[in-house]
Amino acid sequence: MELRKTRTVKGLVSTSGFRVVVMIVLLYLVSGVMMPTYFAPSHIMQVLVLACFLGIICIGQTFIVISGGADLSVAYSVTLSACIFAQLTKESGSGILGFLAAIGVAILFGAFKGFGVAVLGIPSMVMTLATNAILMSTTYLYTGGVLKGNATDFVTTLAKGSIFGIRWCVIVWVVLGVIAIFILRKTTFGRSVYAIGSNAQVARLSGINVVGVTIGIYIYATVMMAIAGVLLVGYLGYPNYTMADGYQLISIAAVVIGGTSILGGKGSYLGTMGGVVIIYLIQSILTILNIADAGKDIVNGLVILAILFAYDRSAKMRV
Amino acid sequence: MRNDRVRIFVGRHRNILVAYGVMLVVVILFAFNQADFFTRYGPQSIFNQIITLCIATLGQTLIILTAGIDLSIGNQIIFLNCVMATIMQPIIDLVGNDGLGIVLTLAVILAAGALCGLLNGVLVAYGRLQPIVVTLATSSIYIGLARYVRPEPGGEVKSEFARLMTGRVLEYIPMAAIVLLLVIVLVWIPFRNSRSGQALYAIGGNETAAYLSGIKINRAKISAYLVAGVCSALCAIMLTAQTRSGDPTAANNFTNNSIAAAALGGASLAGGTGSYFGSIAGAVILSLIVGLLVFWQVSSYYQNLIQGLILVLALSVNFIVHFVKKRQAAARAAAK
Repeated sequence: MELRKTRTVKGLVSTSGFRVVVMIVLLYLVSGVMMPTYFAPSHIMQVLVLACFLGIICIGQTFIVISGGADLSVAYSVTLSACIFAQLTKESGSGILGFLAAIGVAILFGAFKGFGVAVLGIPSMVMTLATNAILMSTTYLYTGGVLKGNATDFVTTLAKGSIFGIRWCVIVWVVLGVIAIFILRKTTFGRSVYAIGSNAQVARLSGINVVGVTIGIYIYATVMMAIAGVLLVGYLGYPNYTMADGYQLISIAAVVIGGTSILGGKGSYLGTMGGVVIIYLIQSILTILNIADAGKDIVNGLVILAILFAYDRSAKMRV
Repeated sequence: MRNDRVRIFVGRHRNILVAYGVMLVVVILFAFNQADFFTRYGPQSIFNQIITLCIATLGQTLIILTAGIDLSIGNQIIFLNCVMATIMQPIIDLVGNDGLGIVLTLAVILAAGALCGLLNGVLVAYGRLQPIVVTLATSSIYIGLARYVRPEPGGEVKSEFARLMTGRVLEYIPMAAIVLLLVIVLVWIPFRNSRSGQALYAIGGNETAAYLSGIKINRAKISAYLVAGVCSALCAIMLTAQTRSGDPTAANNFTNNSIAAAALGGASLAGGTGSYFGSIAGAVILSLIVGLLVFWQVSSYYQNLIQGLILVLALSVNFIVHFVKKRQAAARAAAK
């Protein structure tokens, strides 16, 4: 469908990818006109650095939304891994051990989410909501209410260092993003994600291992969130209980702005990357306008609504 | 015959029965632990603990019935809470009469809640947008408005009003129980029995089929969001009476807890299933668990863990029953 569309000009304009690109260019020009220094490459890099954490989180969210769900456990999936990484690294003195433990716990909780959704038949949003509560308790129980540890040199370099003027964390995002796009487009697993999102029953009858793939989706998603958590520790210098609260809902917004259908079965990670950049371009414009936090929240909501109106409306019902 | 009827009833209402089973256990445990449970203070304290989440869950249930979800309920409540704590005293000063001022304030809050709901409803129905993304965007707007109205926590709430709403009537009856009863009798049941209320179940079951049978979908959806907004307002009124202030930074769990409570009470997120009866049980469980853990001196770190596990376990019941039946059928087939 999408491929055929791009053959004519009219068809090209109607694709969600085209609209995402137009939106990015427009927002970039607006921010640049308001603040000429924003045209500089260093500012573009700054936006990308801020965007890369949400971007990596959204790899997971994109897979889950395409499969017909929505993950409401982003906040503590990220935070728990960050806390485990920092604290275990401090206690064991080995950053590799800390990282592996964070990923291991993410695999465990990802499997738990997937099990609840695929085997127990609990709706994705409710299952992830429950898991978020469990993750939150686990975070507090593990740390004992006192945050310990800080970033290792390696992770700090990943989050803050750069090579040829490009920040490492942006490179990490792009690499993980390319892998995600490859998985979605070219692997059986990726195509199964779309099939499950369109119609899980049909997918099952066509011989797709729906339970296995669904558990796989949630494990992959939670591992991505864990990686984002570890990188965030590098960026902030230390973990923090509320470090990922802000990403919870905005991750869904970014995925939808990127053209992925919240109903499942349609979308791409490339679109989500665009959606993430759009969100941070809006933020940078709000920063130029220098309005109070209250105003920022309101404008943020209004802009998301406006973007949704521009291209996420469903067809009108007709007889 | 009779046996079959019982089995069909149990099969159809399994989730609600499980919810009431768990609720019974929680309430009994509560009775054992709370020293003054059987005095007039017992019910008062229980109803004050459950009332806000119960009302918020009733609103959430209406939206879930349409196969939607409202992520903005928590921020709506915070917004209305901030407005109420801010405008109550000025309005009283303006009219120069405590009683009249409070009634006017309540009217303003209910109207504002209805407007919040209306905004969500119009965006979903006429905007033809998905409820989850609409309410995600509007929740950002509501919290912004709350911070705008009340940059710092505070405000003034008449202590007579606070005492009345959290106290008892006629010595024994908790005011919160009366409020809950009134919400059910005057808001939920009439709406449920109205044409739009009936339509919600049809829409949640199959929106296209509902549309083709001539049901006015937009009107039904908008009225569901509007009534949910009124529920948010009622919840905010009770919350304000309890906290006696408006706080835009308050830990805000109403969105998550109302979704969890509705699911716990048997509402299906796919739409078309759910009732006030089940939702209230869900809300009671989630609110009282917190109190129980306090009685047992369990570290508050466990609170979310236990709430999450109860939710997962209660919703696994369908799977477990299905699993056991399959095993039995397999055993029978093997025996043959």
